Amino acid sequence: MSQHEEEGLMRLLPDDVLADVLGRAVPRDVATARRVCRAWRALIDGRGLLRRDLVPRSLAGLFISYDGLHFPELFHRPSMEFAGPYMLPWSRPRGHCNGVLLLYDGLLNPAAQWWAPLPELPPGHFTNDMCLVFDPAVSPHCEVFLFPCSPHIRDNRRHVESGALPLLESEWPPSPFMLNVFSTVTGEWRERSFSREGASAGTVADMQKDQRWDGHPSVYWRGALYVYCEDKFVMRISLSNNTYQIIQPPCEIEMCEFHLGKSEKGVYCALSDDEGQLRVWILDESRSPIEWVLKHESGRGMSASRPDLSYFAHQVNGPWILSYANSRKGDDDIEALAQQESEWNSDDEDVLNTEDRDQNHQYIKSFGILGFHPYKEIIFLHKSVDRGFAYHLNTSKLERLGNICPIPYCNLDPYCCIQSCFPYTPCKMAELPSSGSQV
Amino acid sequence: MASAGSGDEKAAAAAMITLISSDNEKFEVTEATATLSQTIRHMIEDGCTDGGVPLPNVTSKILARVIEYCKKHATAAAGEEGSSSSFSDAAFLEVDRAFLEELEEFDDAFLEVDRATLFDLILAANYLDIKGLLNLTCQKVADSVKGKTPEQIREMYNIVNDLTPEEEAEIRRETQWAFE
Repeated sequence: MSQHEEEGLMRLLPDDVLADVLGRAVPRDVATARRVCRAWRALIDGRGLLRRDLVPRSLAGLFISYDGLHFPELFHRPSMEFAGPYMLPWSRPRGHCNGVLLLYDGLLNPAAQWWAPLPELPPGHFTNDMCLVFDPAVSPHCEVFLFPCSPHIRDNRRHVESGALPLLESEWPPSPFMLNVFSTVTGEWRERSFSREGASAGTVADMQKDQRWDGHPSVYWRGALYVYCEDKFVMRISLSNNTYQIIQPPCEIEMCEFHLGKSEKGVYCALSDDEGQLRVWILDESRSPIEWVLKHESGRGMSASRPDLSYFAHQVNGPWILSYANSRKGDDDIEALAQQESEWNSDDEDVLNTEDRDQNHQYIKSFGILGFHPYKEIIFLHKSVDRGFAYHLNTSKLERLGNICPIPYCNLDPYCCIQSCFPYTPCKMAELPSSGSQV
Repeated sequence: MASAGSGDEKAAAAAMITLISSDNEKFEVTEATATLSQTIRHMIEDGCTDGGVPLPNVTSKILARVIEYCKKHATAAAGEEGSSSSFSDAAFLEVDRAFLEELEEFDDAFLEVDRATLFDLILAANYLDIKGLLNLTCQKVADSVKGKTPEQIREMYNIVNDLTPEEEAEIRRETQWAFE
């Protein structure tokens, strides 16, 4: 068959075989192939090879973990359809990315019902150091990055004696920055090197105060991982070329409530201060260096001074509900509750026109941040361990979603609090091809 | 596995099949090797392999490679059949792991060919209906478009872009979600 030249090779393939080839590609590559020529587009469309259903596209709810309670709760709208059983997490999620939850000992896809255990962490690391990357449009595989905290001064004394640790005046993070990365392709932790582009964040000495021990909040967006580090800065890691950049915080304020998230237009951060003011920034990647741009400022009205109607919660029928995982026994499936006539649904364009049915005009003081809506400019808030709210950034409309107090918390500890919260976007991508084991 | 395996080999050794390439070269292979091809299996079942099997769509160069693949994988298939009848799963897994690794290495080395040969192998695997070989070669082509732009794919495979700029823009809009 040497009569053909290398040109036009693809034309040699019968349609069935070409469909077999393209059917093996991940959604993004199929979407690209659709733009190659008319014949390919017709074949891809005719055989349904572009699997949009494999890529998450809707918000199912929020996984909320509570201090002292074993199971996270899924806070969701009552009519959320559970097509088949979900495999719910049995411990506090450390992270979430495109439908996969990062637990302390493995990766869980509740909707596709697979679980892949993680091998033991490399020495000197903690489960709080982990950040998850999963992009089903690009690969069925997951990666977990381990972000070491800067060397702490206490350890430093110990290590300086042995001559093992960097000095206080050395740069942090260093360049190149060595990170342990787990991949479900290899099933093991391997060191990868990332070199810095642009200015450094500071020195080891600068990192000594306000060290956070409750993990590294992270967001994955368009091929980059954004990690909130040391209560100070965001590290943007470009996965395609193994480089990183430091992004300075949007303001000089004490950053303890700084919340990193992904929403409609990219990467966002939010700050809710003690006086009830909410500020939201969006990351402008077209600038050099990349920087935060103020997107929304609620003013103090959210707490006290302005009795503006738009700052009152709008109670609509059919509040969001909890999965009540902590009051169930041994049952891992959520049963969809009876549908209600009307409910809060961000996919419903009419939501902004919902009549003000609020009879209570309940007054709202300071809020905690639960997370960003991944597809709309909405931020989810909570007031103590009591109620969840949706706040529309473009209209300043605040809506009450429902009660977020899990049953064991009712009338109990007044000091109980929310440990973590992750917006959950189900992904039906089947189990991992290699090291992932299906339960 | 030992008894079942050697039994198979004896039976296979007795029955040899002659394959004839498009350029009239003759290849003598065991039945076990030849029947990895569903097409040939059906011909054997129909009893029409006396005097050799002519394969007018496959050159001697490609047929030699296909037979190399089938010989290696026929051994694997014989092992699997044997294990199901006479070996426990655990014992099978133990023996199997090393063999599978070797097989994977063989496959990787087997795919180290130029693009024209790869496509000839796909066409031969498709014509002869050899599932494993078709899987292997199709995956290799799928991997070759991974992460590429439409322009790069067209260049790689010499495909003419017959879409208008308007159509391309529309397709891009339709599938924007895959690039978010």
